[in-house]
Amino acid sequence: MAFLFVVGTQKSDGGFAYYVTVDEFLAHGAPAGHFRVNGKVKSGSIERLDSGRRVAFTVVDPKTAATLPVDFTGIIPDTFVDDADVVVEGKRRPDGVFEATTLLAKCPSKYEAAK
Amino acid sequence: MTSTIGHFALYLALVAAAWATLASWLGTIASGRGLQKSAERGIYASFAGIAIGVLALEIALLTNDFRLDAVYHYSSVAQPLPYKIGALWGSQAGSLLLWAFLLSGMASITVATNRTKNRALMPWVVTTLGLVMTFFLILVNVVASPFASGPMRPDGVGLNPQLKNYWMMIHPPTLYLGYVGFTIPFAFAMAALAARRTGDIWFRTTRRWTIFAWFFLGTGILMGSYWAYIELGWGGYWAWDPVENASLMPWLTGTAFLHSVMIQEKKGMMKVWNVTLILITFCLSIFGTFLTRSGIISSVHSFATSDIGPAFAWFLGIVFFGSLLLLVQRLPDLAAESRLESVLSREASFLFNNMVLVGIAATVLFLTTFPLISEAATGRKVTMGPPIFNIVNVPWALVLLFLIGVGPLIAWRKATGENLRRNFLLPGLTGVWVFLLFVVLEGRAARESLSGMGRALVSFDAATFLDRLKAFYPPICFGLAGFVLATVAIEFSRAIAVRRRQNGENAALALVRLVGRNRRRWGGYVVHVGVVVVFVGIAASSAYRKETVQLLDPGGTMRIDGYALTYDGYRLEAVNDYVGAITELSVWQDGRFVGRLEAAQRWHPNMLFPELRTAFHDAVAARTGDPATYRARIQGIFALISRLEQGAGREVKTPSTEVAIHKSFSLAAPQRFGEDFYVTPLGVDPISGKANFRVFVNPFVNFLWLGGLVFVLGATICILPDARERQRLEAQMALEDRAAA
Repeated sequence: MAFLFVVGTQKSDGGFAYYVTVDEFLAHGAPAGHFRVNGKVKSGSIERLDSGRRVAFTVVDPKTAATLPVDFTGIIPDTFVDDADVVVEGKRRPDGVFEATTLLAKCPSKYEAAK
Repeated sequence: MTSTIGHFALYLALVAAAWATLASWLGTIASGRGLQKSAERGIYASFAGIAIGVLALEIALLTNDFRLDAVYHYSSVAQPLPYKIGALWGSQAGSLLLWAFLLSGMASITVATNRTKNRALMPWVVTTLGLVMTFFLILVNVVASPFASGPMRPDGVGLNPQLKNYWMMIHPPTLYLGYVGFTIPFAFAMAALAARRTGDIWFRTTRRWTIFAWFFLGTGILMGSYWAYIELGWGGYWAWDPVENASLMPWLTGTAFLHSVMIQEKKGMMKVWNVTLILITFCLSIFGTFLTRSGIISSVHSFATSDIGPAFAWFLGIVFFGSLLLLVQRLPDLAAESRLESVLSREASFLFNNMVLVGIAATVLFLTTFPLISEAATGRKVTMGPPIFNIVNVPWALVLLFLIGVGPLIAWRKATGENLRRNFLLPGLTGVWVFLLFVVLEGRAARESLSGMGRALVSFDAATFLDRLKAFYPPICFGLAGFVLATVAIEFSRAIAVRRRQNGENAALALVRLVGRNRRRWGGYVVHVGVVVVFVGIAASSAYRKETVQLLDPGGTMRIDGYALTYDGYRLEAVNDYVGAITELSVWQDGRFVGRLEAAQRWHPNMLFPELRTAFHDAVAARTGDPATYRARIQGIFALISRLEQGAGREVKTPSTEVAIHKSFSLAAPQRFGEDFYVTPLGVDPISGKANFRVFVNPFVNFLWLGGLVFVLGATICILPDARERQRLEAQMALEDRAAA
């Protein structure tokens, strides 16, 4: 198992990624490599595009308010809503937008601060 | 009022559980049975208190008592009745209460059924159970009270739409029965150590509890996968998510335990190992509850993040190290009575099976907690994705599949050439034949993988080699499945033939009597068949799955893998608390019309906006009237939503998607047997109907659920009371009591 683990981690698509907050991600300059960025969906930033296949939004760091624009094409979970906790996995594009290949979302307590 | 009663009842339950623990522990020192009797009554009393607490919370949920946070956050006036009841385990405090409730119920049953048995063990059993109950009761009384309240609020927030599914009603309690159930064998293991009764009574007397826990945990895992499959719309059922892993780990170690106790029973070996296994299984169950509830490792499933983390960490630490200390003290009592004579023996094959099961569990634990480990080591959190889980675990899962075939048939002590030939020649040939068949069916892909493997081998490139080898996993899995099924079939047919010859019974009667005479053995075979079928489902559906997404106007058609999907049209609806677009679809499979499907996309409007609430109720009221008005009003809601969104600067709706699945069980297309055609609609335009359809073709995926049913059947056979087994156990108990006296 240890052998398989070592061999597996050598491969680029082994699925391992640095897990960082938005703030940490931005602090590294323009980091190369695979990242999982954790933050909250900035309220009002969700743009549902391409008839539900693609979404552009902003992830915000709940502590420092640092923001990161994200572009994601793929399966958008139903829990993906304003203020949801999200984890986006992918790479940063040259234009600064984070191109995500995976989007995980955890529902905030629904509607509590609706107005 | 009810919540005050509930609050108070939980407090009394805590006092009763604490008393049970203390009195029972004192009872192990003091003479006479008075303290022990009182302790056992304490368990009953605690159960009664918790039951009143559960009842009070349910009443609060049903009467919309939104003063309680556990009601306000997880229920609402409009919530359908079953989900009001199920909201009990939606909240963290409620789910901890459910844990305590199930545990106290099981503890009470244990106390009641052991009134006249296991008297040497029971004081320690009650101490252990009381301790675990006390911990959970401290949590629900002090840290996360289900009766924590605020001001009265007019309406509740309501359950997360994704949780509004009938699986929500049964999946969490099923899983909890599994988690909680392992406490009973754990308590008996600790009692056996403490009371120095380290024979095989402790696990034989709890064998059915262990199977019970293992059965519910396994079923719960499958239900969770099924729920994810039909609810989340990504066409998959397992993502190596921390919460999924949390439930898998104790199931794996529990499976190892169920097997290794057989070796202790037959050969008096692996005594330390068995105590260790049940300790690990119990700790993983607690850890699983903790992981699900604490949000310590980010997961899509953890519906709560909270302050129960430290309490759990302390408890887990105390249980683990305390038990380990006790185990180390008792090591001299746990010497093996015989030795392993050959690697070609049943003992050895069970040992390998244990090593693989525990190895997989350890790997899953390591990978799941890797973010914590890497942060502690290097200061950077590194997460592990599904690919690495698969790379590491799939080969071992295949080894396990092989061992499932070997274990039950290989001889004890040392297998002879004759034994191997008699039991494994035919199954082995069957396996090889199935494997080759699938390799030939794969054709060119298999040849390319083979040559890739050859090149990688020459250049010592292990990563590429493994990558190429992956193409052979499904044929290997099918081959091994053929091997195992053949071993089981031969066992059954031989035994039935013997009965027919000796007793002149017909085949069906012989089968029934055969299974009845040794439920554990034959039920075990049925479970093995179920597991094999599950493996086949997993292998095929992950290797051969196809996916596409396409934009269609009503009337349009899309094609994938021999299927054609026509988008006939759509209807709008306003029901319960959502507006939705139901798309009407026709499906053709290999040119043959196979049926119509309806898949829906729903939006739950934020009813806190009064204008939206009014518009929604108007639409619902128009439902039975003129269809055009109904439709116009719903379209009006969509328009209102986008207007409100512009004003509010945020979304005022939450989505939910209803997938549609066509399951193929027709014998007209045997190659598609068990296949799913799975459709998710995306972004349905309420005016034009234009929509994207994401379609998956999942071959064999239903084998997963069918295998699950076989597993349920087999486990049920194993758990039915067995009179002969009971008599043997009672004789053994009498013997041990005499020896102790």
